[in-house]
Amino acid sequence: MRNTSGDAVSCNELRNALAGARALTAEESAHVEDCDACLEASLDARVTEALDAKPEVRIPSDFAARVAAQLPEKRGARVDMSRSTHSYERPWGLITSVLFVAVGLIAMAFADPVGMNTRMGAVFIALVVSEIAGIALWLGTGRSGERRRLRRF
Amino acid sequence: MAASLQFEEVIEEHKEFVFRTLARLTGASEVEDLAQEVFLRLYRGIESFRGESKLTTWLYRITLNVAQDEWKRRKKEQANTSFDDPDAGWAERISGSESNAEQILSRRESMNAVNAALTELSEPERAAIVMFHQEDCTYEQIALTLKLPLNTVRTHLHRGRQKLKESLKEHLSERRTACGIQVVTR
Repeated sequence: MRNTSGDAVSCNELRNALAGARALTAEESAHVEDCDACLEASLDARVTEALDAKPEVRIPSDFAARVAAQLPEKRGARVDMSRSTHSYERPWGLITSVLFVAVGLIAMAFADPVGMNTRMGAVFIALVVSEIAGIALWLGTGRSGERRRLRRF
Repeated sequence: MAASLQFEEVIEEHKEFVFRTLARLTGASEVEDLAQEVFLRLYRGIESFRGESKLTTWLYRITLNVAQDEWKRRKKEQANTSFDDPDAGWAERISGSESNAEQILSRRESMNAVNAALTELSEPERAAIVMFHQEDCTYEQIALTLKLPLNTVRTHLHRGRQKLKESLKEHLSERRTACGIQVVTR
């Protein structure tokens, strides 16, 4: 098989042409038909080229605005919640934490395990109550990055 | 109002890949209605989104689901999903730098043949191939989106490409035979 300059078309030349996405000459095309390995390489190149091509699609310039206009109204109320410093996952998160603290205080005052009247006892009670409050707040709030971002909708 | 404005930004940011993926997976060039459905599903599902994966991964899943639904709907209606139909001609409009008409024809023919063969693949094979080639997704991203093990993704990609090659080979050989017959009949 001869190429345009009269030399035989080699498999290497052909692979280079395929790699460079250059159009094949008549001689090179004929070589592809005769050589199984080059036929495989040529098919591979064609498939890759076809798959890598991004379809040109027509997107109306006002597409985003039109879709946004169709969004259900009920979601609007969620926006204000996300703008507060603490975005509570559910309202009962806050309620639960307050209840925890209140019940804890009452129980400890009645049980008086270490003596509420002593200074040590008061410090101990304060520590336990703040720990319970911290855990309740942590459990009641949503902290995931993507989630917080989406909650703005 | 503010919510819809923020969501509009998300649509602007992702609309191109949604349109492209839908066009590729369904074989149609007019996919606006489907793209709208994708973003509406995204919006409706925000409450169930737990933020464990990326927004794009989730959006890919929705896009693939919408494309699959469309695919099933068309199959049910026995609609013509061939790439020869006028609605399925996006491959014709891919820009190129071909020097002559024969090369343009050959390139378009290959693309149309590959796209037609793409519709014959299984759903995970098709989705994996489109995500990998068209959207430059990594194996890991594809695995996450399709909820498949990494090795299964590799297998789908390999098998899918093999099938496309076989199909193109068959197409080219049929074409040569057809040309031969034409010459004989002249």
